[in-house]
Amino acid sequence: MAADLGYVALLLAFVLSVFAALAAWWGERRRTIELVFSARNSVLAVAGLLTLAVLIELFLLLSGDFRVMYVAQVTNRAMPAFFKLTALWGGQAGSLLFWSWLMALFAAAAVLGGWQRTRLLIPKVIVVTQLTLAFFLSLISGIWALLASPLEALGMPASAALMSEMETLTPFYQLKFTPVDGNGLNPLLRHWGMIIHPPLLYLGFVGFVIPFAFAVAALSTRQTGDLWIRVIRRWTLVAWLFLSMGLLVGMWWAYGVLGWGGYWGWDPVENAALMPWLTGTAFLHSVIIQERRGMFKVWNMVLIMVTYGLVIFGTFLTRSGVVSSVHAFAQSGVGPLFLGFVAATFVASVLLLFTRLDSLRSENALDSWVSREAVFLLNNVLFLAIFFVTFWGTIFPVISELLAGQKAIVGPPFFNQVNGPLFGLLVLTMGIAPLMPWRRASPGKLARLLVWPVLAGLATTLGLLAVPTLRQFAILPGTSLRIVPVTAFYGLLVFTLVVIGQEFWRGTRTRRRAVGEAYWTALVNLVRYNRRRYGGYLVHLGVVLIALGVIGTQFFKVETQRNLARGESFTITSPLTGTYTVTYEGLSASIVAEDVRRTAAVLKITREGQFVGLLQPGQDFFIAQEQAMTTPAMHHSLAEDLYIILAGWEDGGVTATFKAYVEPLINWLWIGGLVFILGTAMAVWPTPVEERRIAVATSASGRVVTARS
Amino acid sequence: MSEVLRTALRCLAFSSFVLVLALAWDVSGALAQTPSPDEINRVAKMLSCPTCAGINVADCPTETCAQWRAKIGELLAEGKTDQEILEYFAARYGDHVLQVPPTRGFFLGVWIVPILAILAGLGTFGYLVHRWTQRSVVREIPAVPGDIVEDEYVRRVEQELQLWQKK
Amino acid sequence: MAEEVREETSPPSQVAKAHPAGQRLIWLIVVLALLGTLLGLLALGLQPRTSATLQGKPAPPFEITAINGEFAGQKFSLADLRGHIVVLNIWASWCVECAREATVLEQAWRTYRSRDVWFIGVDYLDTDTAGLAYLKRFNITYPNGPDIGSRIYQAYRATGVPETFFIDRDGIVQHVQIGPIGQTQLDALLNRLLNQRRSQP
Repeated sequence: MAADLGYVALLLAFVLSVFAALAAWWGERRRTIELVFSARNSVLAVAGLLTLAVLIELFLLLSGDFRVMYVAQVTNRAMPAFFKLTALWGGQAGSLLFWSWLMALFAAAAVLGGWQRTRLLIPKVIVVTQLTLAFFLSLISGIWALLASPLEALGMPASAALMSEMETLTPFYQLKFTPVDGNGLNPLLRHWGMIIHPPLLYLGFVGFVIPFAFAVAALSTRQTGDLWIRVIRRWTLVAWLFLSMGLLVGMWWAYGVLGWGGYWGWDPVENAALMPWLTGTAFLHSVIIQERRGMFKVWNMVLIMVTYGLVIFGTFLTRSGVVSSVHAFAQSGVGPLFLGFVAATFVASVLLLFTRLDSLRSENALDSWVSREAVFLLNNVLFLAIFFVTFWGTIFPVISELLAGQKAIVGPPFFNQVNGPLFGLLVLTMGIAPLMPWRRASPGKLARLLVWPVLAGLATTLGLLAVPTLRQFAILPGTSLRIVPVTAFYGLLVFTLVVIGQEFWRGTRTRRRAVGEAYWTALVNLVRYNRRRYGGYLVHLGVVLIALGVIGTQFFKVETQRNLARGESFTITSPLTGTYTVTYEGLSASIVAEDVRRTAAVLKITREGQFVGLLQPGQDFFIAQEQAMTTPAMHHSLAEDLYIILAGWEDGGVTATFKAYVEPLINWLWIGGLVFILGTAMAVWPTPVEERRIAVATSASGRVVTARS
Repeated sequence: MSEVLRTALRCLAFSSFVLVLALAWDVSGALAQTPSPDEINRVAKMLSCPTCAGINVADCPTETCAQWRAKIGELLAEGKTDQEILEYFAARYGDHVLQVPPTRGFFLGVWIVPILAILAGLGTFGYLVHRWTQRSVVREIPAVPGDIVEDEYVRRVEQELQLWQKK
Repeated sequence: MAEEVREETSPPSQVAKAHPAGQRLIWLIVVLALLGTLLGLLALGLQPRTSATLQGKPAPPFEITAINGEFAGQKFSLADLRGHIVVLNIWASWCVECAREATVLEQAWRTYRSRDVWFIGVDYLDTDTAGLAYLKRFNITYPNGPDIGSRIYQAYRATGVPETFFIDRDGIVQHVQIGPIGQTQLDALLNRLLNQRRSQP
């Protein structure tokens, strides 16, 4: 009963979304405002219907109605209630429903919010968002199954089979019988990090559809000035914030749960989420140039179109099984459909762009190499380069299988070796960008700004080179990189730190002089009224800290594996803090949850004779799925993590095998991540209402720009 | 401070000791002792497990990888170098057990295409910036007071004042 | 306080170059061509390439060097076995399902050997010691050899183990068995193949 209602809601939402797209298109074309109103109301109705559908699905999951196939796939009786709810996005059909729901909510918010300010753009925004939504809804409403018979008649049985499979890909599909119990989810997915990781990513992906919709609307109505850029500013930042959070949480989860002491594997599905983030970050930076100087309009259009296209492409990669990945969903008929949608999106975007190129005239030109515009452009080039490398490495296996008959494996060494230097250059760019003024730098001014950062950087580099005991950090083990480039990179990190600090200092000092506030108040207010700029600096600070963590773990990680009898111990030496001694005391068994049994080893950790703590790495055995999952044990400190897993044991614990890692500076990665998120949140936050003024900026071309701060 | 120095010195001494040991190992060639798990893992990390995607043979818990680690141990005990072991596995089980494709023929493309693309990108960037800045050298830049603004805040305050004065 | 849509008042002389129609068209074609190639390749990559697609097609060539029993050291290839019925079985020592069918296959070999049916076993991913241990455990006497370079596994588009291919005297794959095979099914298949009339060579 409830499932039927849910299905009807879903179908209705699909029909209404198609209607909304058509009505908005036709209404704009014929200038019939009633049709556009109708479209807007449909958008709201779709959001409401999908909310209903999601609530029904949650109810079905919670109540354990196994007659509904999806519920049987992703839950089982023994699962705790909380995990039953979050299983909504645990499988293909449910996660597509969840995605669609988020899309519908965002579309409704964009349409409602933009109704006042950007009425001219709204119809096309509705068209784009609803068409996308209609596609996703079509996948889970069984519509495509209708194609099965025609395809069969046309003599394409394989495609017909794929299409008829789509009938079961709805979250409300009911089986002819009621299973006694469900399958339940992969135990790996029961960790809270894995619970919030997909929603965060989806929010990021879905969030990018809105800027794209506004871009298409701006292009097609030829309102290609600042309007669409200003409207989407916050949307883009919010989408980017969620995407960044999703990536960081994913890394944090991988590190804490997977047991190989790493946080990024360049897996195709990871790359699929990284690629839109890369182009999205490039977009974030280059729209600032368009806002300030009216340049790079075509480029910005290209960037947002590519970003959106990559969001859909990423979904395609994840769900089609075209690349093999630990993350991927099972192969199904959605692959070809997604590919078709990606193709349609890209082709339509390209055509639209080319036919409207004349409306994207640049208002200014680049004045000098030594300008913020040039540095931002370099930043874009680097982000796009990293994107291309990632993209190439991800699809190369597919290409090699087709053209060379053999599916090549492109693993971490490729990505690390090619992307590593590019990221390094990016950090350099990040360091000098705040120093660059718009249009052209005067040498004297630039020199004065460079003094302190350069001195600090040089001091770091020389210090590392000169002091013998610090030299070990100047050599990256396992690479051929030797002293000068590596210490230069540390110097670069310090340089960037000082540049950022300098910016805060100069701003505070100027404000103090102008307004006469105390230092602290000046700083707080400076940030309050320039949230985007100083939030951005905080984000850069976060990047520096993340870079520190990455360098530490990538190059200075120490690992060892030993088999110990009870009472025996092994040592592992950290490059920063000394030698740990790990003693195996014994094995213990415990019951963690209704269907989970844990076997843990008790390890005593000492360092240089000092007792550090007890660690209990173990393995959780999930009885229902007959699957074991390692639970690593860690000792955290700012300098490093001591990370130990229980790899196996014999004779009930008489002997056991352990793998231990020392991960230097890893926690700076997570700290940097927090600073990163904080900075972005700060940049997104609206400026206080009572102080909102209309800032008037005069660009050098004499054009008057009105903008809300 | 001395604590740091002491531990750092110890690290240095330790790593030198290990280095000497490693060199000795290499020089002496075929030693008949069983390689330690760490040595096996060092080589195993360079191989990719074919039955699970994206995991190297050192981290992989499957039986295949356990077999292979034992084989690596055998080969190390025979005195084979890392490269020889990798070649053995590639020949025996296929190139896809390596973590990057072999650098020959079609597979060179995995490296060449991105590097060409990066060079093309940087080249285009350089060329465009050069061309655009050439053009603007010809143009007159109107001199606005405080042309190269030191601080956005001050500039905005000044401009706002100007606006208010105009009203 | 609604914001009006502003008109652009860009100074005429400083506007960047206009895009001439011809240049635009060329760029458009280039971009679309690149996109098309990429998407086309991905579409091709989506096509199912499992072993099931080999049904009814000529069997890909294979060659192994046997490691067990009486056949140790001998080479076996598809070309050599032309004119005989071949049952090609891909297995691995750690594979539970393979163990399930091992005795069935060995029995069938002993029964049908005299009737000109050749069972060939291909060992996927095992080390020699592990492979030999498995063969010894189930007393397997038909020729088994390691899949060097995993070429046979790839050529036959296998996606797991065990997979068994029934190849008739003309070298056509008559049946692809994904997963273990049972006694009755095996007998039925072999009888069918044996009764099949051979086409003109």
